[in-house]
Amino acid sequence: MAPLRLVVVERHKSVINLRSRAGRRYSVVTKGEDMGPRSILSKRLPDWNVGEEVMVFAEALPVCYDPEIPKTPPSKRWRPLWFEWLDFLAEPPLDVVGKELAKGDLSSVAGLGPGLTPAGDDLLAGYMAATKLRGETVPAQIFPKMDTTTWLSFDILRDAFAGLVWRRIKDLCDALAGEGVSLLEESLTSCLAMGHTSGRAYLAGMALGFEA
Amino acid sequence: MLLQRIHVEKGAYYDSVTLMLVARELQSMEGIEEASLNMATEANLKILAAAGFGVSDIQAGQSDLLIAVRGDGSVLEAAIERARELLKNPPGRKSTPGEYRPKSLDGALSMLPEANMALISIAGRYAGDEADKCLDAGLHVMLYSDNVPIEKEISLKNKAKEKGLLVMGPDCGTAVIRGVGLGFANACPTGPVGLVAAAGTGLQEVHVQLARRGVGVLHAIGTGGRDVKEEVGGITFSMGSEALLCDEEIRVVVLIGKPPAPSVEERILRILEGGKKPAAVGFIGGKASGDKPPLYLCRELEETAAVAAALANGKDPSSAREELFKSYERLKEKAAPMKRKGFIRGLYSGGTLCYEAQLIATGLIGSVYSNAPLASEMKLADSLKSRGHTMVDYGEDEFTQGRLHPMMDSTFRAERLLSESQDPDVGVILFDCVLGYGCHPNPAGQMAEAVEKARKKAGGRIAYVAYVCGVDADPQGATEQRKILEEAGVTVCDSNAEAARLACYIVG
Amino acid sequence: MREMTVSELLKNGPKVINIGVEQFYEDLKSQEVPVVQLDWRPPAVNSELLSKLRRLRGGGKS
Repeated sequence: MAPLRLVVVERHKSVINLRSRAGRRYSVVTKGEDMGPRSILSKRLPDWNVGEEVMVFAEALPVCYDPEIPKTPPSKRWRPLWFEWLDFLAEPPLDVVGKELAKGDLSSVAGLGPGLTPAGDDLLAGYMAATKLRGETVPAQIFPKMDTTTWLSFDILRDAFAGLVWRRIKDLCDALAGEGVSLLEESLTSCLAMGHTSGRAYLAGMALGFEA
Repeated sequence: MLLQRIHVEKGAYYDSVTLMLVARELQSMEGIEEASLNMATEANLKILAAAGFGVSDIQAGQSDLLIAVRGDGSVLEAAIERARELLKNPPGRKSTPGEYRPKSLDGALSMLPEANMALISIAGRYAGDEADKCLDAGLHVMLYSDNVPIEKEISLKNKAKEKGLLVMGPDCGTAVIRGVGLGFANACPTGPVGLVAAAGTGLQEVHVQLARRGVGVLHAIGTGGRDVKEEVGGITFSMGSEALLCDEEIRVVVLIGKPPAPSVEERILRILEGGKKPAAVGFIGGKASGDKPPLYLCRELEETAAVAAALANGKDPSSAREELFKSYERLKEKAAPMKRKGFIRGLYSGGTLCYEAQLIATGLIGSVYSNAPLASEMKLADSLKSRGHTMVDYGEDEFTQGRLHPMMDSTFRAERLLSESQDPDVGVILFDCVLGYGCHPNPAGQMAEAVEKARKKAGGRIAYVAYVCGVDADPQGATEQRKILEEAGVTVCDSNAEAARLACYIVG
Repeated sequence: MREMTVSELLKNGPKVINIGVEQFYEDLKSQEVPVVQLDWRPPAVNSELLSKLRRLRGGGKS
């Protein structure tokens, strides 16, 4: 199989994000919980600099988890818990998203709010994931236009629309379908640790998706 | 030059204990004169203004946190940063930072569907409504919070009674259910005794005194101090007593509290008389006394414990009581070589311990002044200025507004010990150290440090007498704590009643 | 609806929802008691927005 040619876009402490010619994100991560679709888990980050073009062999992409959203709906037992997640949007800095949402149009939150991936997009991704989890089709009209947001965020939404999620979210989906408190607690804690506000916005989106 | 800064943290809520623990950390920083963390309520803004902070241009509401610091201009920024860092992982918190916490009662119940009680310790103005919700959800309630209006207490307790639920409190600091300590509680063994107590250190003292006699407690139900008032009617006292009388594992019932309103006392005693179990009733300072089986009426805490222990061990309660009072007589011999001239100054962290000490001292050496006196004419005009024999309860509201309870931090009480030691009219300084869950990790250390400093100035002029209310299994360890005090030259007694008597005999 | 009585509580021991001081939660955990800490906040924080958001529950949103 031909190697992938990727450009290094961002380098963080434990994650490198790369972009393919087709505009898709690929990542190298050093922690299992940071795995997303199209990511490589590596002991150390390679010595790549931002802007550099690198070659990755497709065979090097190990399958550590299945990024596909399961089609097992969440247990009703957790309903009071996801009810709380909407409250995240009442507090700063997520209240900008909350206020927009309260006006009534879900798609208008795209690109809104703080964060490396804007909180509004995290919310949309959560909404899509929850809709998929319920076994339903995500309405195409909530998918934002590319120019309303960052490429990384757009890429996450593309994945979510296709039913692919990050490792943490996958774990959360599994936990919500089950009855175990400690598994759920663990995966929620892990989701809340995503970005500064990403986790909370994502959970709020999931709550909306479950209740739609 | 001293500078000041107030930093507003928007939408950040923390409980008052966490805030005070963080403030204490900041105060120990080099160059920091004063530090406080408060929710931006109107009352707190007023307090800050009174402390000399400029608050006129602060834009904040009651859900915002204020970090106020005064000190060396170069360290203020660092102090605020330190506070924000500490709040992320507050002192004393052992659980994982960022751990998921449900935000609603329904959410919490979905995580712990088998929950059967709520322990509520938020500010009094919200606590009543939360308790209401918990009762609606079918939970028993322990209300640690104080400042809950009595009307609310009455409506909560009536509602609970209808549902067969227990409301312990408001202002219930201690309870034990099936050997589990809730709030401030000692790690005593379990056994055949069940307690119902107004709350607080009275309960702790009897719990500890029973443990000293090798007798365990299975349940100790707190009621809050106002339960025995006419208006409340002793609802929790009655429900608790009935439950203990029905409980097959309980062989001896013990009641502890200040004397109830007459109608309430009658109701409670009638319940006990109808039961088939012996009951030791310790209404501290009450008029009734004597033994009318199955009721054994006592007037002091250790006496109640001694009688209950005899009942549990199948021994004669009357002679147990007699022996105890004989042992108190022998304290005179112990006091003989310790004789001092002057007044007693008692500095208490436990409210009931302070009350009992006043009662004993009044009987032996005459009236005692206090901020929480036995009789209103003995009330101190200024709680910070002693006169004659004085005993101060540092757990009273006036001392705990914006400060940690003295059982959690004795700094303020230790300062008083130092200043009292400089008073030439003082002969004995008497104090308590209360151990157990929720309490300071080393109260004896805090007090011993002050005693050592004071002795350097006052020499042997003053005798120091203390009581450590705790057991070895407590997180602080009673033997360890005693040793710390004794090494500082403090005479440590085995009970609160004993300490109070010894102090009286030293000056009497 | 749950059926709770005082004797049930005394027989089975406490399983606690802790609302307030964190120390009590830690103390209960160290005694191996089932306990959940509620992340309680004063009411009326942004109450208008909150109630609007809560109305989004139960559907009506796309």
